Amino acid sequence: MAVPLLQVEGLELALRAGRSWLTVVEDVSFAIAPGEAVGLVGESGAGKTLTGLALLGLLPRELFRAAGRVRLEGEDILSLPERALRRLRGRRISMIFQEPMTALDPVFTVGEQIAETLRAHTGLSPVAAKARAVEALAEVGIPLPARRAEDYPHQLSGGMRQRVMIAIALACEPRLLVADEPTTALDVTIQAQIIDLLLRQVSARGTALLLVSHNIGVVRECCSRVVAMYAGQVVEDAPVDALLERPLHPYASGLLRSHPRFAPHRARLPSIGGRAPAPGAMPSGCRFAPRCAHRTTGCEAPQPLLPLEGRAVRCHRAAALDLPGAVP
Amino acid sequence: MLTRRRSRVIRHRVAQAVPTLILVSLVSFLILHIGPGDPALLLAGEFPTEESIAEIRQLYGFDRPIWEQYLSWVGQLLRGDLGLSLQSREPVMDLILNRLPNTLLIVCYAMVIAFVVGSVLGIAAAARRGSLVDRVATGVATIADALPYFWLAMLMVSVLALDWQLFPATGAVRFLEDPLGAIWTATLPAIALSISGIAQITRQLRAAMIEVLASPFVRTLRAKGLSPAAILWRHGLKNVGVTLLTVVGLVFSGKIGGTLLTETVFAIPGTGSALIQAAINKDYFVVQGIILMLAVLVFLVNLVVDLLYAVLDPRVE
Repeated sequence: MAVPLLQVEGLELALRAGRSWLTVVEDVSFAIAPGEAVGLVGESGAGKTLTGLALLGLLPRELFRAAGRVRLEGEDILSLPERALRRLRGRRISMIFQEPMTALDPVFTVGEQIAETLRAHTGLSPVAAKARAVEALAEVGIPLPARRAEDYPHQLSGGMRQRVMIAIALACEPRLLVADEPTTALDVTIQAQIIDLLLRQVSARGTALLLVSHNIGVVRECCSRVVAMYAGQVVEDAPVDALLERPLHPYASGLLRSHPRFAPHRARLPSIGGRAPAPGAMPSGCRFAPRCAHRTTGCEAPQPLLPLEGRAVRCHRAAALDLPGAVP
Repeated sequence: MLTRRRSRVIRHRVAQAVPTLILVSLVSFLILHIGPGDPALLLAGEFPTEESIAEIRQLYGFDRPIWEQYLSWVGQLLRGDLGLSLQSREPVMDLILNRLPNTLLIVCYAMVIAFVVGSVLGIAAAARRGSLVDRVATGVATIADALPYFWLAMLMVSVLALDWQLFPATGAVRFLEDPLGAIWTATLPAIALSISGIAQITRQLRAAMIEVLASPFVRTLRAKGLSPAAILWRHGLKNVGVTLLTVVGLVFSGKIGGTLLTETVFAIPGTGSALIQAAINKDYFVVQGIILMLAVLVFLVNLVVDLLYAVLDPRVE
């Protein structure tokens, strides 16, 4: 890979639990090249959203403690002071969220909310920022943008609001966009439109995308590479096609096969038995071992993320196993 | 600011005001008739005779059906006639107009104090939740709420006015004749009257701001790179605007009633002290007139609050 835009190395996030700290994300490492689209997948509670928030330094410092490194164009985000982070957010790295219904301020017009981002980061005059906001609404496919700019969020549908969120996030042409489950809360019919829009907008700008999703199908359409997380750790980091064809980690394989789109036609969906361990009650060895069908001796030892066949995988048996991927 | 939707909301609210006003007049009118005893007997003085009672019945029209009495009373009302004081034979309307400026001055003055101090304390407490500022503001609000304001008024008169001679102890200066002197004289009564308002505004605003700052959209604002100051003063303030308006309206209405004791303690010739005097003297028409006036004031405050809702909150339909 060329010089990465974003390099995450050994990211560890701990949540304050009374007087002690509870490690919720541990040893997360991955990189994103300029303009690359990477999917971050895993089930709920795997630490995907926390990882996404940490990339913008958005986790409240009184509640979360971060260790490791997150470098954006060489600059370590975790050690930046809040003031420097503010100049970075919205301008070099942006984020959109799952719930478009509550992610916008209800008492400001959508035009104001886009213009405000522009004015926070550029020297645009109020009039110029407003004009640019209308253009931004047009770019995300909102009809009658000049009139819609005067609308308040409650006057727009969920899909429209998510378009507005995309317009806000991309207003200052950031280098990286973190999209946290951007279509999960939307109607199925709208989901494809929003994903399509998102992809066109980031590729037109050369913006890199980190798509946080539990839906491996969406990730396959959008991303060239996928990072799978389980119980706060990265378990596999691979090109999408390679992962779909032949996953190396048993959890990645289970995740693929439990998706209706990749399962054998009309067959019962195979699910992964058991449930993910809770933070604070993590197994000392492989975290997936208690649910793993391929468990054997050696799984009690902590598993490092190791390179294998040009990917990275956290399983000592990876080379030996021949796991089923998505059925074509 | 005023879109077509909003002006429609405003027209609607004003139209809704008509039945409220009719109800207000009806209640004021009925005070005489639902109070204990025969109104004629009440008006006839200490040693009534059969003839004097009958005379009073006819004079005030108590022998006519009640709806007829009400309509003729409303007719008088529309011409600005509230009857004569039984005590001084002065028209009640003149008495009210004469005293109202003194009352309005201390009420408005108290509102300004409560609004400014309450807003600053409430917002500062919410912005630095759990800090020393928060604990001080919450403590001030709790104490201010528990203090009887007439007791505080007497304490202030005793210390600030009598011992230290910083302010005049009693009385009022007419605002139109000497505005600065009037404000100076009204300072102690206004502070006494504002205390519970400060407490209410601080507490409500703190709670509302804490809720707003915990909303999901604040995360979007932070992700856009806005500063905490912009989030608090631009987005926070506009979002708590409706709560602030509601609590200010409530406090304002409360203060209009609160002037009764304040004016009495500070011997201010306002409508509140006049109401208490009139009630003691059984000066029936003065009581009726002032109650009607106070009700209309409260009503006007609520109307203005309702109209401002439509301006402040885009979601009001």
